[in-house]
Amino acid sequence: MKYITKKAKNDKFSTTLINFIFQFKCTNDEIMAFTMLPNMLSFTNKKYNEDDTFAKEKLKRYIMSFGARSQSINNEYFINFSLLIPNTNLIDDDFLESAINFALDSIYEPNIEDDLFKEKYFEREKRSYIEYLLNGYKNVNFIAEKNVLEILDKNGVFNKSKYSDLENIKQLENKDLVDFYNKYIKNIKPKIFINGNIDFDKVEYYLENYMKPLHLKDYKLDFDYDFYFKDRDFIEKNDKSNYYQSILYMVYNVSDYKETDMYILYLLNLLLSSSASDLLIKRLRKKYNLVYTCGSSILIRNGLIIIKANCSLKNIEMAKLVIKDLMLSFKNMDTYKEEVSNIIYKLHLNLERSKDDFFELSSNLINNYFKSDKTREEELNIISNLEKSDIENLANRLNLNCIYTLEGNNE
Amino acid sequence: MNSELFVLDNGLKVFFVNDNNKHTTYINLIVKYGGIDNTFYKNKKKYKINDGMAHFIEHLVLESSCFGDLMENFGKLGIASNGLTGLEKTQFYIDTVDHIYDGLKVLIKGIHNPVINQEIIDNIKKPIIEEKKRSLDNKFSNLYNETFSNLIDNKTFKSVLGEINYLNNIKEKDILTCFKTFYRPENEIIVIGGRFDKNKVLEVIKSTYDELSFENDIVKRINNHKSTVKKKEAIVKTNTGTGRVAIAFKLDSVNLTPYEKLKLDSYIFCFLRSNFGIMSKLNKKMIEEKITTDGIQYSNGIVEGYHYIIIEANTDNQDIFINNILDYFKDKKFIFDKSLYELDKKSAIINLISRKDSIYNMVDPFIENIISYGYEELDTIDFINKLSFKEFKDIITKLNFSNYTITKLINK
Repeated sequence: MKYITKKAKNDKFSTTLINFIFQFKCTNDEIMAFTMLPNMLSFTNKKYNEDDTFAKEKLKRYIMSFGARSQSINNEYFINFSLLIPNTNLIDDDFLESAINFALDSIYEPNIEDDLFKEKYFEREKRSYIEYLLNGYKNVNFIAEKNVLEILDKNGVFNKSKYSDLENIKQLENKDLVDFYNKYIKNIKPKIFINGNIDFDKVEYYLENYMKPLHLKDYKLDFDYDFYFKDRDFIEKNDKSNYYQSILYMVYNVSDYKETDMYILYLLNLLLSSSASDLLIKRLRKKYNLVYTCGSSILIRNGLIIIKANCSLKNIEMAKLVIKDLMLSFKNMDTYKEEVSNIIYKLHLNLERSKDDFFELSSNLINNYFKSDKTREEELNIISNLEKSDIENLANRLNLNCIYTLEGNNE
Repeated sequence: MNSELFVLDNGLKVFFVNDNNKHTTYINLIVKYGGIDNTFYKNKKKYKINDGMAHFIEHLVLESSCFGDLMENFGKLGIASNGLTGLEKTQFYIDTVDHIYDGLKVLIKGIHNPVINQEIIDNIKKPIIEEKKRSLDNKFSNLYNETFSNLIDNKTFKSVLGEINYLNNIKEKDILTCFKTFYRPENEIIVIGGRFDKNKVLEVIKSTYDELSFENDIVKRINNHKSTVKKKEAIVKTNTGTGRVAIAFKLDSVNLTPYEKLKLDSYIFCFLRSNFGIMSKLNKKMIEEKITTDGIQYSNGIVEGYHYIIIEANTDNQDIFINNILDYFKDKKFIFDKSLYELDKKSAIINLISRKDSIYNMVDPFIENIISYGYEELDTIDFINKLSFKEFKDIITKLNFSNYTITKLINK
């Protein structure tokens, strides 16, 4: 098929999801436009140029939801438009073409006049984002995350803290947004994914009817994965705040991180905070009663484990020691045989569970194209066969990269 | 898809939403005991307990059961689990593709057999106090705690989590009294959705409850049933970038039948969408006059048998926003757009059809129907089809909106 990139026939569910995905590399100066553009294309278009009529037209076409969001992984940037409709066999009306055209109009016929987005919507989106940041700056979790990302940004790998920079959004102009649209969306052919139970030939026909006259350019981007976090001096930073709780972040990076380490890092994260193991909760909450909540996440392309604990100020030093001790303990994986086996079992169950989850099946279809050429079964097989010595080897390469504490003042 | 109800001899109600095409089973054990159930009679003796007890017991039974930590036990079996305490219920769930019957047995037995002593209480209260601090730092928790505290005209109720001072001094005697009063089969329901063998599940439930013992106390809940609100206006100072305001209307719907309550709920939803949603004139006006940037947000529900509506927005022009909303209700300048009503109805039917795709989307609204509305049926297309535009207009126009409470959130 010329226009549909990947499709999955799924008659177990009553809905169909169509994703139109644009992928690109943008510059640091374009990050704000990248963040704001999806909203400019989700609530109005040229034909229905007021948000109330746009919303009503969506209902008329049986569109259950239509929206767009931006997502970045290192220097890969995506804008993903998603159109959710009922399966055509459930509805008597022939709505498929008008629903698809509605989505395509929103992508290719935006609410632009005289080379600018309709001013009142641009202003509103900008003000809305400014208010979002102003509210974020008063939210203890947002502030702590922003500050820790700023520390991690210092060697220039992420640029993640740019998203929460108020000055960046204040400087954004309507023309910047139009330029960004023209450069990355206007003449570009998206990757299109469909999961559901509709006539794919008809969809292909409707897509071709709409898109062929636009003479869209295909794209192929190759991304290099050389963004692994570089070793550098340990940083510790404390800030004070007027919040009730304190937040502790501890970030570990892996020296000489390589692609084959990704699955080991994934397993370590599951050991720390999946319900099949939950080592963080077991130590910090169950054993020492230091926290209400704690967790970990990984930036898999960067070889980073980020541990976060919300706790009282008086418990912070103890929590640091417990986490350090826990991370050192991965050097001997004999201790965690039971947890690893629980995790593998849970992953198998999750694979089974995912068969009931329409949206997970849809995102697997997309991830399988963009992020990994392996199926979930193949990935699970790799994780199940990881050698103890490989995990211990990675544990020996873990470095405590930074500790950040946002201290609350009310005990 | 249909639901089935079984009432056991001990008074427990068991609801099935069976779908063996699914790979998962979603089991909910619900105790009709929530954050607002602080006053009750047990064997004619009146008890008055502080806020936070229902939530404390939720932690206790999960973290200190006869099996130890229940969630840890479930985790080892590959079962997802959690508990949550609301205003009127405490809910425990497990979600599994394997060990269904063992999991169900452990859930029932574990929740009814907590191990309790002072050391355990001291350990459990620490993370609860951390949770409370987290809630104090959250502006939305502060806003809704104040709003619901005023909406529910109960002199003492302030929040489900309770106050730190009380939690620090919580007494074993009170914990046991409340646990024994409310954790009883006649005050519980079990709702199971997804893949399972009905006979086997029923057998496990019956035999497990038979192994448990319960006291034969006569318990009477005290429901205030007050149609009034506690406070007309409140100001909450918290960390926030922009101000926010919530206007909560309490509607006098307590005497309606469960069916009528659910019907009213559907009409309120259509009313809110057409009068305050993205397609409404008022929303457009509020944005164009820069009273709010993101527009009006709205929600509705039911508490203690009363329907409520909350209209809110991020705004630093709080008084202008409030005046606009109150004028709108006072003059009943409501818009009844038949074409929009029909579109909403069509969309409700599509959403209902798609519910069966997910057991959570099937079971969670069903639990809401049972607990909040007393309506022990699944939502159906037939129910939606019976709704009429004329009745919608009549019912909404007759509602009394004079009973409201305003909460203003400002930066401290």
